[in-house]
Amino acid sequence: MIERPPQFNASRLPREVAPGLFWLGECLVLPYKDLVLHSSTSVYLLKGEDAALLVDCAFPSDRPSLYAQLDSILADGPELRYLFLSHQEVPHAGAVGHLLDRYPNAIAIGDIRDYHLYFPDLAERFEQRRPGDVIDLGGTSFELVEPVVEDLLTTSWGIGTPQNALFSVDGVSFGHMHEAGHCGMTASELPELDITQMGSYVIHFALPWMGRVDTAPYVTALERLIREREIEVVLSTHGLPITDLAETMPKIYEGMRHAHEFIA
Amino acid sequence: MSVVPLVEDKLYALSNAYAVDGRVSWHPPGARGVAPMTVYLFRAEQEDLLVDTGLSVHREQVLADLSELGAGDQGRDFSLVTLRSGEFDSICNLAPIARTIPLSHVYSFHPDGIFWGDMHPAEPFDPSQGDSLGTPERSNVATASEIVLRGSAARQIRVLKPELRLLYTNWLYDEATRTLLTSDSFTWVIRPEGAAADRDWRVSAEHDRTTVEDIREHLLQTRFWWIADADLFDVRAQLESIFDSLAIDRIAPSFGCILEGREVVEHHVQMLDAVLAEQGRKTPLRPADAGAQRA
Repeated sequence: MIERPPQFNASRLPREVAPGLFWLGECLVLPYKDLVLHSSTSVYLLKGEDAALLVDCAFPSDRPSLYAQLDSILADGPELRYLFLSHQEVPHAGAVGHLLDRYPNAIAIGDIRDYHLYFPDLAERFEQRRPGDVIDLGGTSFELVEPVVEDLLTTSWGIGTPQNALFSVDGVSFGHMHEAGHCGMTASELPELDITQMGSYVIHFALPWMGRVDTAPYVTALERLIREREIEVVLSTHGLPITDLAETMPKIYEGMRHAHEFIA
Repeated sequence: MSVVPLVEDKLYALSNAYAVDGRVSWHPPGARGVAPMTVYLFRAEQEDLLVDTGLSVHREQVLADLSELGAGDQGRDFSLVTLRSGEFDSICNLAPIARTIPLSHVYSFHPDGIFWGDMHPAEPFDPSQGDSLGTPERSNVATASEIVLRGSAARQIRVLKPELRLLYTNWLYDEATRTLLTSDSFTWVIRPEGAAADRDWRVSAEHDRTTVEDIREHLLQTRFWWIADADLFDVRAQLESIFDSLAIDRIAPSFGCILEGREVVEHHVQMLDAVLAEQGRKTPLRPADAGAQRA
């Protein structure tokens, strides 16, 4: 029988990165040239007074640790009612079938094209939501927003309120080093992490098209979104949480501006 | 029966139809008709290699087709390669297939890739209950240049890393059948609504009506929207190199019709290049010599 390799960062997660907003997930090991990188496969839980919403659904193989993390957060409620799917890729939606099975009152929301072909037995539990739609969780809300950077044309980003949290999916992502103890830490806790360089690896693997286009308009759009929506925390799937935007976002923008140097 | 022998005893297409009805993101929102999702089976003397696993809605048909073909029978190994390991159409039926026919070797983007197919709640992979997906050897297709199928004369399937890609993608080339498997590229040919679902999905020169406009619409409204004003110099150079250096009589995509025959292949490559030339930047974003090196 084949066995999965060890899991990596479960000891530090879940973490509450803002009141009512939790960081869950695991790390994915990515061999790249002579490095062994980690890329977070993060999911986030928004906990309101009436309901909870999960931002993305991780790999199917991550669900033992994901279940334990969810149980620890939701032991006293509220009920997990919404599974937001940012786009149709396995690291983001792979476990949605298992989660729908485990949480029978939950529905999966987002751009739900294609899922009827992947999960035909669960098709009635996928509901279309579009940028601009708001999910009220009771004192907390989640709004779908147009993405600045998309993996697929179906990609949506989200904003959590009152945390002013931007869920940027594959945008604003960067790798980290397991051996250096980076797993489960926020960007501000790791001043030595070369975020610009680590962002290049994610662009290489996940967003190679960004290396072919003039990225200046994307930087401008991201800056505008953060400014206009008064974002205080940026949470990507494959990066570490950014809680010190003034310090860290310039490094992200620098990486985006040089994306054309990264693809190989 | 959805099996079509593309080259008898060497390569089979297992195509199953789905509706192109606005609910499928890899076709333009306004496109209507039917299209095949195709998994391919390479057959060598001592090994069968399955390419991708198809959609969940086609699960029973894919399993029946593999049974009918005798995949993994007569002492042949049964191996699997996933061309876009992080996308569902590559892995939807991985677990059902692995439970039905023991896998000898799995080639995927990540060593953990076989577990990504454990996506169906009705039949979870549960090692604690003695469940098993077998003991296949696992290889990283991202670092492979070829897959060698077992036989008295080894059959080499070349692994290509296309510059024209959205997410992590591999193409395959088989010299023995002069076939290029292009995953999510060359996927624009569909058929009108009402076309029979269990038919031969090959398009020959005689029946091909595809236009440059069709290809432009398909690319810009699906997975290749970003080509508009993108640096495509090395994309075009690589395509030219592939089609100049390899004998290709057939383009076999994961979805959309199979382009059959040298004439159709050349026509579609020319039309694709015309769209890329039209849409791409007129001056390189990156140093021109970098593009030349990758070509």
